[in-house]
Amino acid sequence: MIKFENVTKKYEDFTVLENFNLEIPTGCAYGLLGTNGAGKSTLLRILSGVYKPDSGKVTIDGEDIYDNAKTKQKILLISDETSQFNGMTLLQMKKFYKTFYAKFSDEKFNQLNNIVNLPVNKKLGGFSKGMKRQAAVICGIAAGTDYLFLDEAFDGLDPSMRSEVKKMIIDAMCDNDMTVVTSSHNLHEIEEYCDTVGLLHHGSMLFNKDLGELKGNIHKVQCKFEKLPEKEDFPELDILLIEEKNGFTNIIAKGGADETLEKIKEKSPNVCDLIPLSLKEIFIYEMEALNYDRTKLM
Amino acid sequence: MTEQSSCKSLFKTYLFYKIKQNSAFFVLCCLMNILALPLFAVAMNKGLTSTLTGFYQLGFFFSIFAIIVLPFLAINGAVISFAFYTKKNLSDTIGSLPISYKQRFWADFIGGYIVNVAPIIPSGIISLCIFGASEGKYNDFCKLNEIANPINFTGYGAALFFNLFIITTFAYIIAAVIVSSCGKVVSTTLFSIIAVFGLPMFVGGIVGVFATCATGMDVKSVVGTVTAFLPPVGLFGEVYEIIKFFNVYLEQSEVITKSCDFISLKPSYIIVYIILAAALIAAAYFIGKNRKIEKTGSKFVFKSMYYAISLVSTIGVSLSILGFAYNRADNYILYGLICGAIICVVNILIYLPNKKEILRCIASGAGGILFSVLLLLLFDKTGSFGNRYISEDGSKYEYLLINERIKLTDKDDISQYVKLLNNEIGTHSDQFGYNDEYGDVIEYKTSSGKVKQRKYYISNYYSHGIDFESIIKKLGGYSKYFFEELDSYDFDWSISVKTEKISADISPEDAEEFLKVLKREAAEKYKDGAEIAGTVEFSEIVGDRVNYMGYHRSFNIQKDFTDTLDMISLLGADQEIDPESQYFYIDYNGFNNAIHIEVPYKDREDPIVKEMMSCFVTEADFDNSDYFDFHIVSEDIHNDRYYVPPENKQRVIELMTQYAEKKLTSPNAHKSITGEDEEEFATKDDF
Repeated sequence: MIKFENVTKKYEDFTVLENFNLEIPTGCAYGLLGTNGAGKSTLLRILSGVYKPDSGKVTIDGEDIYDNAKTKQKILLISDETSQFNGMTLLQMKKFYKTFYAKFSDEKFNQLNNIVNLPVNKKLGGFSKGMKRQAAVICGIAAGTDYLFLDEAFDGLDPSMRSEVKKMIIDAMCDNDMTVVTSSHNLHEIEEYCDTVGLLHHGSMLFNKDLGELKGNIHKVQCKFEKLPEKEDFPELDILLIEEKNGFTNIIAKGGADETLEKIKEKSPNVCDLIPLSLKEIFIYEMEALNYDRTKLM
Repeated sequence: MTEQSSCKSLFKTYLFYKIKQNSAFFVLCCLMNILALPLFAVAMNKGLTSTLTGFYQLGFFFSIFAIIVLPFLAINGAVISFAFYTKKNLSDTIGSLPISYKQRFWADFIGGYIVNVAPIIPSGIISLCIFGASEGKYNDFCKLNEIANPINFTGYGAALFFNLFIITTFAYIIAAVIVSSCGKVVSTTLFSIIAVFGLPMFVGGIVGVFATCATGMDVKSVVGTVTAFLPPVGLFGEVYEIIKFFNVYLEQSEVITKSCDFISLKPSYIIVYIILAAALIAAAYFIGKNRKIEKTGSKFVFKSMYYAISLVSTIGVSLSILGFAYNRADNYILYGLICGAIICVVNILIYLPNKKEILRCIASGAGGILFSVLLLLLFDKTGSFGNRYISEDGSKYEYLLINERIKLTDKDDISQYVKLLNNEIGTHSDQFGYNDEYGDVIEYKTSSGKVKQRKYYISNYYSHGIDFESIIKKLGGYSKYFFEELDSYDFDWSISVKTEKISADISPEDAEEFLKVLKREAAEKYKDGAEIAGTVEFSEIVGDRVNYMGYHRSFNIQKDFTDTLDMISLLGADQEIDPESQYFYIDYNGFNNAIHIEVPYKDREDPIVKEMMSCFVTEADFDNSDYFDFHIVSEDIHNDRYYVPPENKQRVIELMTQYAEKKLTSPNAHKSITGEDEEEFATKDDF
């Protein structure tokens, strides 16, 4: 389990994390969201033992990470930058990871590389950005660590590559009970395989929820009324937003789907349909409900 | 146990990874080290067989090039080895690897050292083998070229190797300290170069100025001494000497007298260097441990470094330039401008490309100019803050003791002496001595009971230091102090007199009476600048013989010392000077040759001698060392001192050569006085 306890991290006068608390259970696929500069990379670097928190405690399975070689054997960070491997071939990169990670599996590496079919004897400097990402991910997965941290892992990947990489990660999680923390500023990228998402903003976690629970608990009902209703017209519902768009009224409410639909129908709308929400929309409405300007969050 | 061995193996793994990663640099460093040492040894070997062959010249050239490059390679090695601190992409990958800071630091440090510095060890050993194998050849070379005092050929090779080893090691370690505190490749490299080359000068300058302030010693001498000892750049002075010695020896252009006595071979210095290196490595370790990795990519890791470097550069540059370049010439503004410009550049390097900081750079440069000029003015006007000049108020002194012998107690005499001394100090500011062996010592006791000492270079034929004798001669009580000094020695003096007509030795029986008359007349009539009729020479007697190499004093006999002159006439009536026996001697010691001639007075009308003497002057420009290539002494009563101005130097050498050639036809005319005769003691009976 990953645990942040009152962690503060500052860059000179700029506070990136302030009294930050978070728990990520073992085996979880955690999606870390936030705008550029929200502190996602910092959080991952603290988790990887690259940065030392100014105060507070960060542990993995109850043990400190910073300057702890033993704990670091359990983790691997795939940075958003891969140019450091430009002078290496894929085989050399594999050898590099193999020397430091005792559980590195050649078999796994070959198996994964058979999927993406990267040239093993060509220097990574000649690879495209997407190929470099794939190379880093297959080495990271083959390293067999318990925790894998991916910083903007899907940047620069085309849709097919993105899909392949995601599949690799999901397979690795299933096979090894691996905990994966992925940072991104794009919800779509992590929606498919993350079971928990957190939204980082201004040094604190605005939002940290199970994705399934999140999706099942918020609904959009498209209806048509003679007169635009107010929130007060539905006292039993937890209404997040009522808006009029293209002649229709959209009601975003928290709670069970059937219950919400029933309560709205009681007001006799001309039309009343339950519309599925994307994760992005759910986030936006949740944030607006917390009085945050959605344009500054995503 | 398993965990421990796993950690150890990861250290090794990372170390091998570092070495392998930098294998290209390893090849380059090996090549440069081979050029610097084994090639140098081979070139010297070839030079022994046939001086200045093409191989020797080419080998020498490449070796010098490699020797200069080696410290830069060491700096570059440290920057590359600790690239983790300067490249963000590496800091993520390396920082997250399962190794501790301790393992990573030592692997980075040792790995970089093995790649960039260690190749000097096998190269040095190979070069020593080549030097050793060349010893026989070198001995033959010395015999063939009649070299009487051969140098320790292999010893010089060893000194070169050890010097370069210390230089490159320190360059690497200092760069490791800098890279631990910086976060950018360019600034790290730049600051490392500044630190490697500027730090010893900086420390030397500061120590020099403070030592001068505290003791009144020669600031340049202290700076030179301190800096020569400080690695890495200080030891380059020794490398330069070694290379020069090899080159000079093989070209036989100069006689080498320096023994194989180098700093890098002295165990006491080596111990100091080891301690210094350990301290610097510890500094690199702890700075690295406390640095924030997120500062990778920033110019400095610690914010306070901006202010520290600004402040240190302003004070340090001013003090070190003052230490190195201080001269009492009226160049305050020039000095201030140079300091200001350097400080400005240092600050620009620190702050730019942040354009907002340009004003700060200019302000710091202006501050530097102001600080430097004020410092120099203060330094000069206060006489090293009160420690360089001595107070001219005679009432403040109980006594003033010159060289532990001449004790001034009269307040007016002290005041007059100190005024003259301060003026001399001001005129020859760069001649303050720190060397006990050649120093003149002024000790004084203030009326408050404090006893202080000042040391100065002695004035002699070859230096242009403070002329203590001429100062004390200006005092009214000079004769009293002169004879008090004579009496203070616990040996007897042999006395001889010389006037225009008479040269006579005063027998011990007559000495007492003679001195009585001389002392009386001197006390009554002595006056500085009075016309001279002759001199009285006092020479030390050891046992029953005169030691001509021992203590010697002379006192001028003024023309108005009539009683003394009468007595001399009586005592030496039968010893009239034979003009044929009088000489003056001219020595020339140039870089490439030395000439010595003796000119009898009878030859004064010789056209060559006449022209030669017309080239002499009696006053020298003491700040121009060219004036001291010649040593001219006459045996006349005045013992006048002549100098040859630089513009006449060539002509005088030509005339000396012509005169020597002319005299070669007469075997007695060109005799050498290098002599054993002079060192031989004469007995009292000889007089």
